[in-house]
Amino acid sequence: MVENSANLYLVSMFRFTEFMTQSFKQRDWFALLLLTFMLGVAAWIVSMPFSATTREHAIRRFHVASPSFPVWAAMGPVPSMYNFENRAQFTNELIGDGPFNEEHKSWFSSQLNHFPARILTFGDSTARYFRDQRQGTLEMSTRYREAELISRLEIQEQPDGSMHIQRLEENWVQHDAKK
Amino acid sequence: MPRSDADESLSLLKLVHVGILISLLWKVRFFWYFLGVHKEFPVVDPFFPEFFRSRIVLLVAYLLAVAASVLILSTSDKIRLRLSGCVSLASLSILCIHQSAYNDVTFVCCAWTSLWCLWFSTRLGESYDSLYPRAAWLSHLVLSLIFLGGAIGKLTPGYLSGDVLFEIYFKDRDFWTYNLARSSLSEEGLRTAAMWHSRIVLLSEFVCGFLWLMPRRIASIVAIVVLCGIALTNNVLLFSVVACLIGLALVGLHERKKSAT
Repeated sequence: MVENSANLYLVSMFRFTEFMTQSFKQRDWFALLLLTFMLGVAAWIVSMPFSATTREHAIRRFHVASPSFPVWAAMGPVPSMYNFENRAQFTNELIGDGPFNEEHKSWFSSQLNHFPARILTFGDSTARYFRDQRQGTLEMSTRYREAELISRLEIQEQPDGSMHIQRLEENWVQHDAKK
Repeated sequence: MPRSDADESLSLLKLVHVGILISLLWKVRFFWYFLGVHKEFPVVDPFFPEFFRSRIVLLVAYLLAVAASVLILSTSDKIRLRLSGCVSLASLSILCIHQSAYNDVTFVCCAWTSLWCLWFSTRLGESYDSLYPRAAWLSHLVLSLIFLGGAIGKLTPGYLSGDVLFEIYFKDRDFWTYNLARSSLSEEGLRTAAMWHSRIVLLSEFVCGFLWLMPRRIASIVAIVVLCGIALTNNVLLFSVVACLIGLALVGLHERKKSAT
């Protein structure tokens, strides 16, 4: 086991040094820049299970609730397909911080693969949820290990026919990471 | 007669751009429909600057990304190749952070592939024998990063128990694999199948996170098998996500045949 790990370490070091040596030799600075960028993205990804800060930023990214658009956009290159446990519930009623009425005909609740906030802005889900009423309340939750963010958004129709999203509230919940 | 270094490199670049083009065009019908939806239901999320909410920006960025790949397939002029590469990467990057497209993994995968292509297009003057090993390793590194992103984000109880994939796929997804599972398994059996499916997905993503450590041909074959498996067993629309990555994986199989002397 120790020998295998040592071999793996040697192979990985060899591949990196070989790549860097050849790139230096060919004056391929773009390749070195690309490698550095990729190592930065990989470090970000690998730190998610261990760093509360990375985790919080990654979850906020899914709720489009980063401190600013540039901070959110900076996470754009991080591959995150089918990440985290995401759930959303929606109703066409404007309920503020009140409870969802599961009997209401427009209520729905579903598990989503990634980016739960997308149901308001992406493709046919937009058409489906706003077909009858151009307003509503969305609550989404995203959990990764012990951290969970629950956000509530309200969508209201404007006089020009557009629908504006307003963020109402957000709450962080701490879980036992294994349950 | 063996091909020149430049021809060999150019054909490799074009091969990967075919993958990007397939990815972008695979869901073109849906993309067109979504544009209509955005016109009829204009949702405004003030978090996004106006530029990244605009339908026109969305449409132009998509068309430019497609046009750039088409141009790359039809030219061998180095300046045009690099300019088109820049346009492709810039358009795809816009789509990655646009209000109406940010969640579509197709664009993130295409952007990473396009970044590799842009780098490669700057090296077309280099000897193929010195360029190819770096190109193949870098392509495997990109693929590893994408798989790693998927794997690490699934290290959470819902994926380890299979609950997430049970709800998304096993419960009611209309696709041959899940229809077959539902018709032949009880509720409890379905949950067990979802758990093992979820763990296998996690394991295969972790293995593919280390493609850069594997021998070149094996890494490419493993990546292609896993990527095709994802689309064929879950949803053929996912070829829009994996086609560009398959193009990137093919780089590892494009080693020049040694001519007999």
